[in-house]
Amino acid sequence: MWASTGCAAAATANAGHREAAFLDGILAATAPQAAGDDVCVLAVHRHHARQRLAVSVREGAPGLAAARHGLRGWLEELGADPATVDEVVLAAGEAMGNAVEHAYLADPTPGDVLLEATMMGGVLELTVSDFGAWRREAAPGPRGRGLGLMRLVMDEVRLEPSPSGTKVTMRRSMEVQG
Amino acid sequence: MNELLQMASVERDGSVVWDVEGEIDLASAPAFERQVSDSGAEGRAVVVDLGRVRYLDSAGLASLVRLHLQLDQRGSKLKVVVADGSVARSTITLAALDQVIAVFASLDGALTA
Repeated sequence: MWASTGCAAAATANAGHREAAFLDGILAATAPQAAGDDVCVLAVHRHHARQRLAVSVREGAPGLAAARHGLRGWLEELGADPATVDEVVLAAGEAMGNAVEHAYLADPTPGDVLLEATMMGGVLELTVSDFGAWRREAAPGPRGRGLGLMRLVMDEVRLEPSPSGTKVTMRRSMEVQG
Repeated sequence: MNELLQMASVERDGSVVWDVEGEIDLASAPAFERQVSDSGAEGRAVVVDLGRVRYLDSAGLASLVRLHLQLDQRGSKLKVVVADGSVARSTITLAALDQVIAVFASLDGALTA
């Protein structure tokens, strides 16, 4: 929410160019009649309600599709174009598939994998986290290929293995509505 | 069969033609691979139409590569149909798999090749 003069100049600092120009326009149109009086304009720019998504993959590979569908729906709601949605869903699917396939090899039951997505300033950030051991030696062909695809469709892919699990962070700038 | 994936085959011009719809991922790729593999016989091409596949990942790509090699060894041949603009076409092109397996834009193109 931003306010613009004459009652409160304070909040204009938080307004973007678009909002500031909008408020200036209104003030210019109304100020002559309101000369000498206090004028207060409040503008609310409603940002998209859901800029953040978190989905868990449960029960291993059979749970992947539901997580992908969740991400797809969220991206479509944000207004991303269909080809971009397909590519991003592929990158996320590969990262989640890797985690499902490789993180819990030592466990009799597959552990959870967490997918988080945030959209900020035209940049999408995806993180895929697992809480198992990363088996570098148990990663033949398909895992390597998956990583290659992720790198092809995202601007940035970073893997952070640690004793408590692996986190993959991916970024891509993209156009969204609103 | 996994509910993610529906597939059915018909005989056409001496080839087996698979119509595949749904998503090929880590969960569904093994069943996809097994069914296509079982349908291959010597001297008979196996055509897999992925035009209605909505998701194809590296597990599915790995299946396609193995099918290509297996069918080749058995004197058969794998032909993959992916319409222009389809999701499977994008993924196969991204992975440069069209350099390895025979990819066609239409079923007729695959059958007459």
